[in-house]
Amino acid sequence: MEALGIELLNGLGLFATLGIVALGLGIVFGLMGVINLAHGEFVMIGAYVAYLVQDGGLNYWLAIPAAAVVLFFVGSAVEMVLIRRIYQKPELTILATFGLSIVLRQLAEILFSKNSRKVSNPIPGATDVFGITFPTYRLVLIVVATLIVVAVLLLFTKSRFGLTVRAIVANRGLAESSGIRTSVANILAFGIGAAAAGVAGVLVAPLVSVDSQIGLSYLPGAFLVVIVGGFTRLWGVVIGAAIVAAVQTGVTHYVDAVWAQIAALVLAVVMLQLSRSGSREVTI
Amino acid sequence: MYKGSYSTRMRILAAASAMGFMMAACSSGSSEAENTEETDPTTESSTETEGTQSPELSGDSVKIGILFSNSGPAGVFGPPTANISELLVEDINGAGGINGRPVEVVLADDASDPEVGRQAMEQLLDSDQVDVVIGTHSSATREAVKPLAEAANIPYIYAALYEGGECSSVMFNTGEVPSQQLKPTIPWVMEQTGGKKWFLLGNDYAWPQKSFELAREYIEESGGEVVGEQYVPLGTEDFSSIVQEISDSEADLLLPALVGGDAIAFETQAVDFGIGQDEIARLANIYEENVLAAMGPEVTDGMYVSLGYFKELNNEVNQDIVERYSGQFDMSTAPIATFSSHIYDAATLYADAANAAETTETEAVLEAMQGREIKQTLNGDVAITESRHLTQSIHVAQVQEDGSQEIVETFPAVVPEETCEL
Repeated sequence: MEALGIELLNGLGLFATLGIVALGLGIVFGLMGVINLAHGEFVMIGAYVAYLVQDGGLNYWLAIPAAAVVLFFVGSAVEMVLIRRIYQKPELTILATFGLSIVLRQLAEILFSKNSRKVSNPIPGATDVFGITFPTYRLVLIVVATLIVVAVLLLFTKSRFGLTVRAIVANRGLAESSGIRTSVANILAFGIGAAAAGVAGVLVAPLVSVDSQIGLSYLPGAFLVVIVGGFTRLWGVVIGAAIVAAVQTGVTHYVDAVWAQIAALVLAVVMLQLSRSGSREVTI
Repeated sequence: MYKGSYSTRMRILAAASAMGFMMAACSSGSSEAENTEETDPTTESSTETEGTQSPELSGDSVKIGILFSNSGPAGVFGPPTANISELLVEDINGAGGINGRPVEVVLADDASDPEVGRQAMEQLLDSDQVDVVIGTHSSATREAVKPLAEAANIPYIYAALYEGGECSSVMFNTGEVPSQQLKPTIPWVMEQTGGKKWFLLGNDYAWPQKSFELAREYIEESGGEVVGEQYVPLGTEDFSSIVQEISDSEADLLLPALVGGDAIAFETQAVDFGIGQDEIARLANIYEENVLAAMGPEVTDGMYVSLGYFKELNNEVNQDIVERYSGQFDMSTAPIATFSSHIYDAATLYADAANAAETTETEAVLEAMQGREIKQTLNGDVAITESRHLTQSIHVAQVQEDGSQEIVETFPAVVPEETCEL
């Protein structure tokens, strides 16, 4: 029973991580139709922000707003300089963001060298949850990540800003002629997507090696979540993260980690096949 | 156009995801294919700056190609290799070069990717026309470039620690193999810690798998028991379930064959879960200094690491190199460790063999390499075996509280249990 409880918490931890890592990808793809292969590098920048904040003697948690602001501006700038010109061609956005990801990784190597940077766990130690001892930081990560994902999703589904974005998604021409400044909404949506990735980077930084390669390990997982959850609804990110986390944790527990990855990939292929039969409109 | 059908978007997404996976697998990718760096530490300048009374060197330089990972996931091992290659040029030229000719190093980066490695090797052999290739890179790159060295009939010294079993007409393998790194150290660690139950955790590829096959034998021979064995895909970020499994197995010893970022993520998370060195003692076989530094002393304190080189070795050759290296480069961010030291030693071996053969002609050098014994390496006395591997001392270092390494045991002249009949 206790083992099951720990696996449940492990699964929740993975769910929260996957959810917040995939959130920005889901927003940018679901709403704007842009496949951002530099999403992982946005996560990487967030992790480096956490390093800089901690290295500068500041409180680790300050890195969350700091990364959100930095990445919001990075994301907005990328939209204005790079993405804006190529919305009509999804394959071009893939190439452009692929190129961007290489540039960002190399920049990171120039600025921070190839050496891995250490972000110390801000709350070391463990806490008892219903008789199960679990690392405190992971518990906090589960709560913080979930809150941020929910807040961002509410912003897009319940607020006036969300309504505007949804209007653009539904019909750009009509939205524009009704007086909506679509270009501003695009910048905001891309900026928020990038900011979410940055926050994800801050949250995972104390758990992993912070180096220029970190984005590459998170990108496939984020894509899996978006494929499995679908993007007709933004909440698909939550569903996708839940399914992928359950499969990965379950298969790792009962079989092994290699089969867990295979299972997650098979799941994605199945979801792709299922989606081919329907040609539903993209809504939120 | 924002109303693209769901399935169209799904197809694009699938294509992009495939690309994402490829990026993750190949890392930095082909953009760096042409990034074959060439340092040109010409003999004149290096001897002049050193101011040593170097003998007259004349003729075309002997070119030593170094194939290593300077970008991608294994890129962290790159800078020390690039640095030490400058010292090895100084040293070989200072000692009279190779048959009176100066040596020159050509560096080539495989970007931790076999395909890029193949292109880099082609460039070394065809454009740069090197006389020998020394490599520290993955086994995957080795398999990709070996046929090229064979076709070009150029000596190829693979100097990285690896799983063993290599046997090729143009190759010598001077890195540590499991029969050296693990066979003597497994019973030693069991004796030190009193532990008997082992958990084997590795990345999912050839080196960890083959090493663990042998480790199992060594453990059982020494009266131990393997209570768990797991492999994780390269690039794993979340180790919570694995840590749980290790904890459930009640193992008291852990053999972690994890590389780069995976090693750092695993050890960091294991400590969070209360499975640190105090709970389960580690005998690591690839946690070299660059990786240990990234984990931080609170994670590494007390770990045992088994390798053929630590910069703390107190022989004269090593102390001289460490002193000069520290003067010219940053030892704290790019410390000399197993891979870079083996590059230096392989070049020394090659130069010694070519001088003995009085030529750089391939057949003659390969023959001279066979059975060669030399004392001037960073790891003291070494000897090439009939199986084309290297008899060398194996050291166990224990990581101290401040993160430094202290050599706590040395197994002198450990013979690699390899066979090679050509």
